[in-house]
Amino acid sequence: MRRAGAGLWAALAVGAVGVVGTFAVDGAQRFWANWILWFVVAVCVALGALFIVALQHVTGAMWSVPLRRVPERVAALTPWLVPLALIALFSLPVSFSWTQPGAAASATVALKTSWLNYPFFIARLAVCIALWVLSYRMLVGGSLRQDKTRDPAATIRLRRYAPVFMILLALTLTAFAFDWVSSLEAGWYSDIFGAYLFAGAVTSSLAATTLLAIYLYRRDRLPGVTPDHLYNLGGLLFGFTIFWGYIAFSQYLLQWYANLPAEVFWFQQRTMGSMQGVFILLGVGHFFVPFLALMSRRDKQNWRRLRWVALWVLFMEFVDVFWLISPIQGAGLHLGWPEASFALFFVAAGLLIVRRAMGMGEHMPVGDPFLADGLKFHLR
Amino acid sequence: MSDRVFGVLGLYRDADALLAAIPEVKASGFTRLEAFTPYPVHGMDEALDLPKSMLGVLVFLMGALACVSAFTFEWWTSTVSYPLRTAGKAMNGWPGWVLVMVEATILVSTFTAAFGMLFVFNKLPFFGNPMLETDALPAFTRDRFALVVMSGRGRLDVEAAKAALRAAGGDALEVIPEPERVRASAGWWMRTVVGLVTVCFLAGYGMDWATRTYPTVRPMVNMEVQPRLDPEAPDAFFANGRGMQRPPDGAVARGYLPILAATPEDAGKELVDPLPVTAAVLARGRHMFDLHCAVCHDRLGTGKPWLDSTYQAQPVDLQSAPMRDAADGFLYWVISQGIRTMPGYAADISQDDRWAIVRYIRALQRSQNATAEDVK
Amino acid sequence: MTDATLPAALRIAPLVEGDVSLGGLDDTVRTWSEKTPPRSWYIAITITSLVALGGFAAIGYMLYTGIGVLGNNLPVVWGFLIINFVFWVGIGHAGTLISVILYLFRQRWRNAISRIAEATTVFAFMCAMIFPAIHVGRPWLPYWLIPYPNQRGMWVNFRSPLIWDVFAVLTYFSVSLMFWYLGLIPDLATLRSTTKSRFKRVVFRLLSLGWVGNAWHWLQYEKAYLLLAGLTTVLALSVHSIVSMDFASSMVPGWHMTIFPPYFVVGAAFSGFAGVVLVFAFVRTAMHLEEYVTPRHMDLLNRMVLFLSCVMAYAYLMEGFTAWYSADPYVKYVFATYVFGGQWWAGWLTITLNCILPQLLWFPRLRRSVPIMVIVSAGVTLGMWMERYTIIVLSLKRDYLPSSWGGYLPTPVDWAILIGSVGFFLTMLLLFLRKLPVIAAWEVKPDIVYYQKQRTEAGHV
Repeated sequence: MRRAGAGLWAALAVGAVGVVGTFAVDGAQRFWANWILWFVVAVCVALGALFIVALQHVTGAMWSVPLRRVPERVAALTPWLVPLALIALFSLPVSFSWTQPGAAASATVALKTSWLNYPFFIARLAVCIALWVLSYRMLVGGSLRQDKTRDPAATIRLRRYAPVFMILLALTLTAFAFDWVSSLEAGWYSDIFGAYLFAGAVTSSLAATTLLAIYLYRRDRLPGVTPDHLYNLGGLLFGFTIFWGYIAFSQYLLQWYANLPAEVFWFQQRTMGSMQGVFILLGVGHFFVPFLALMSRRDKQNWRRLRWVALWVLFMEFVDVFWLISPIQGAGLHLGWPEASFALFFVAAGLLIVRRAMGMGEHMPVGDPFLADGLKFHLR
Repeated sequence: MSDRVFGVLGLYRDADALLAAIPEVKASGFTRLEAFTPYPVHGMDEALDLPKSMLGVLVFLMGALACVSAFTFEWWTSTVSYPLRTAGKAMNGWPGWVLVMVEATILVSTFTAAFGMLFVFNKLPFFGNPMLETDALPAFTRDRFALVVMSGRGRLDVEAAKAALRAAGGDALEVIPEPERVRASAGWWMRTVVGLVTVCFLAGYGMDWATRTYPTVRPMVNMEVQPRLDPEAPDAFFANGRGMQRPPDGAVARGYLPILAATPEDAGKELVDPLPVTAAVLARGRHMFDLHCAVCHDRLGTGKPWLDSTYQAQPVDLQSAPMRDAADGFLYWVISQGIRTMPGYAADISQDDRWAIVRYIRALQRSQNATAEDVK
Repeated sequence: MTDATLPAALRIAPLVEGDVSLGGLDDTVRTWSEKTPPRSWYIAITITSLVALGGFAAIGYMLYTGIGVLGNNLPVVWGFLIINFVFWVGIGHAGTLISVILYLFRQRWRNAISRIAEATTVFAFMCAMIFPAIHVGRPWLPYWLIPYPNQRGMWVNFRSPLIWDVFAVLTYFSVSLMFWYLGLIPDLATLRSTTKSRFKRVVFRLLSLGWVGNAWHWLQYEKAYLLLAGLTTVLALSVHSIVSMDFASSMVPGWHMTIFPPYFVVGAAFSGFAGVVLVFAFVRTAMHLEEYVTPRHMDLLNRMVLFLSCVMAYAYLMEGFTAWYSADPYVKYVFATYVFGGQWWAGWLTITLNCILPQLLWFPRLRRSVPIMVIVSAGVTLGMWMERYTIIVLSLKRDYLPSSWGGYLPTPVDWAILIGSVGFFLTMLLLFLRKLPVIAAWEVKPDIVYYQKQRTEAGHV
């Protein structure tokens, strides 16, 4: 375990060198494209994890109580979004089409300046991040305190707050998607885009939750949890894979069909030329691979298989965001050592954060009054 | 009623009692057991050693087949059999096919799941099941749970089975007799076939009679009957009572000026080709020539008809010297009025197109008699 | 369960109330099919069937005279008939969502309401399918929509959303009908062996296909049920998405919105759940189902209505925002006419009834109050109809060119067909309530056993 920690720190250091090197060698545009990419990935995984936690409170599901600490730990990425965002703000003059000199000359962008301007944009980000961190304190903090107090009233408070969080999440994540992904190309618009990023966020954080849950399960840190619980995670992963495919295909089909110049140029950048391979990989990898791999009941119950599928889905979330953001650097496939070092840096950082979060409270929410009922869960 | 035994039935109070009874009865040496319950009882598959259901595999295979078939069919109809471009997209615009593929896949897989379960695996509908004739039927489809010790080939120690069921807590014990198997007689078949044929005959004859006797309903009749005059229809508006009126004397249709010259030779002197010298005129001429003239005069104007030798006419060789020397107006007159067996085309080909054909004939003649000068 | 130690807010009410038994459930389920229903049933069905007949007469008049008797004309070529089609398809999503998606999520409370919800689906789809069939200009030719080798030498255009629609709607209707029937088989088998009427016994014997409840049969049956549930979920998603693409794949301002597919699906579920709440608000007391359809069931149904209302609000918000954000003058203008145009009331009714009124359901007491839920659900049903009116009529009225702008005024024939379809739906529902088992008894029976056991355990302690 300590050796793994040292390895992660080493990876972080190597990655950091590469990240700084990108700025020095390849220039600001590539650096900021990658930084925004990983900022978006981090928001997706952290917020998706908070969503899974809140979902359990909203639905009052029993089976997921023993596993709830797992997404709560993945959500520990949330406070770290603050430094990520602060740095990302410096990308505004470089990466966003509406900040470029001459952008105001474009008639469509000129009409949007009351939305796309520095003060309002930064204010929106500040509000989003503040609400996320606050929600993290409420949802995860409240759950951790309950470990000690064993007070059922905490569950009531969490259940009251969860629907509020859901509404906030819908609004803030949509605003984030429009600001930090869609407005990179200010002319493009698609009103399903918030749902698109949400689908990816939940899928990826479910994958992260599944991976971490299996890791803990194998080491017997989750006593009483059975493959049936993991089966449910697999089922949710399967369901959200279909949901993502559905949303992604709806968006693509409708813009492909109507063929309006204001919309379709965005897909042209992302489906033609050297991005075509990424596009195909995304369709096959983000939808068909997990769909077929998780189709039968036996596959979902088999945690050895599930582990690989979850890892693959996480990788696909990266491909998804790469597909969204990388083309702002112009034609061509921007994939090389800078991308590798960013990946190394952020994956290592994320693992270190989650590893540190493993020390928070018990491995299971022992104060939750429904823990015993949750452990009793079995299929059929 | 046969004296062979189908099985011995015992009723149990609830699902737990039934699940507890199964191993007990098994322990008494009866292994061919079947359970009948008002709702699906979980754990029964293990208690009775039931095999795993293969329905999922069947559904997957049929669904995959449907998906591939739907794609192939859509691709074939839209690009091969009836090529159709939609909204300027590529011929292989697959995104437009996906949704029908999804629907076809789901339709076939759901019906495979339902019918596969009913017909293939459960062998339903089956109304000859002896269980349907038992006294306990209302009980075990309502709130009781039945366990039946089945007989192997009609042989069963009925008393021992009863004892085993009773010992395991069962009551309302019942011996179910093997049902008689009655074969349909030849007379039954005769009656059925004759009856069906009669019914079909009567239905067909009845339909025929009905359609003859009663007039057909004509919905949306104003699409069929519209206020308009058909050709040659009478009409009271004009004094002569005709719907179609002759044009006034001396009226000339645009593009169809009559030729006043009496002979081709006169025309050759009088008429001048009015068309400008453009590639479009030549192209038009070529199109019209290929359409109307080439069938007899050949594409090159050699006068070798494409038609069968039974076609006796001998069209003029347009490449011959007299024709090359003939004036433009001469050719125009012949096309318009016809000559020998050739009919006139004045009604079919407009004035400009006839001149374009003349122009093209000139081009043909020059192309077949080219000199070295022309190639320079 | 550790109920006794929990605070009241966390306690979970059982799904069956009172001292119920398996046999008692069977008797409740067939109340009206074995005994004479109350006089109100006869009065109700007389009214609804007369209304339905009126609707069919209007359809007959329309078919005989031509579709010129309807209000739609250029530029509003899709009028009431398409609004009604989308409306009924929407209501028809309730059955699937309640019965199937909640089944996948192992929500046991769906068991008691699934049968009526599925019936709602089937009948709503019967209503829905009338409309496109009579909306084609030459109603004797709709078979041209089916791809078969023909003398016309043509194939259907598989890239046309209207053809997707044909496939989606026919698939959905046949699958939901089959799913409903499949669920009925075990209950019909129970009726077969207990009914007193000789005629019914023959009919139920045939319909139940000789079902005897063999353990092996149950095993296959449950497997098929699970597979159908999964497949039908995807089907339900795809069907209303495809209906939405009839609009969204075009370039009509106000129609071409990428959020349309999920937004239509949610809207369909929303109106469907509201429809089911309405049905249960009356059926529950009229048929004395209170023991099986408890206040908790109604509470959960209303929570779903509330949740879906919030998602609808999100979708409206996104549409409005994107209309502005697109910076497209035509889209902006059409969206402005929704709320500030000559028919501003259509847009505001939509928003008020679908997004604002259901917010009452945040309060637990109001969620369990029958008058409130009837008002909210009726409002939602009307609001969803208005939504389709807004989308279809108001968008078509204002095209790109002001020279092609126009108006729309429905005729009495339009109204008669709409009201007649409601009558037809209610007639079918009343007949169903009268003749078939209204609760999926085989699904509720395990729940009764579960709670019986729990009670005896609590008694012993």
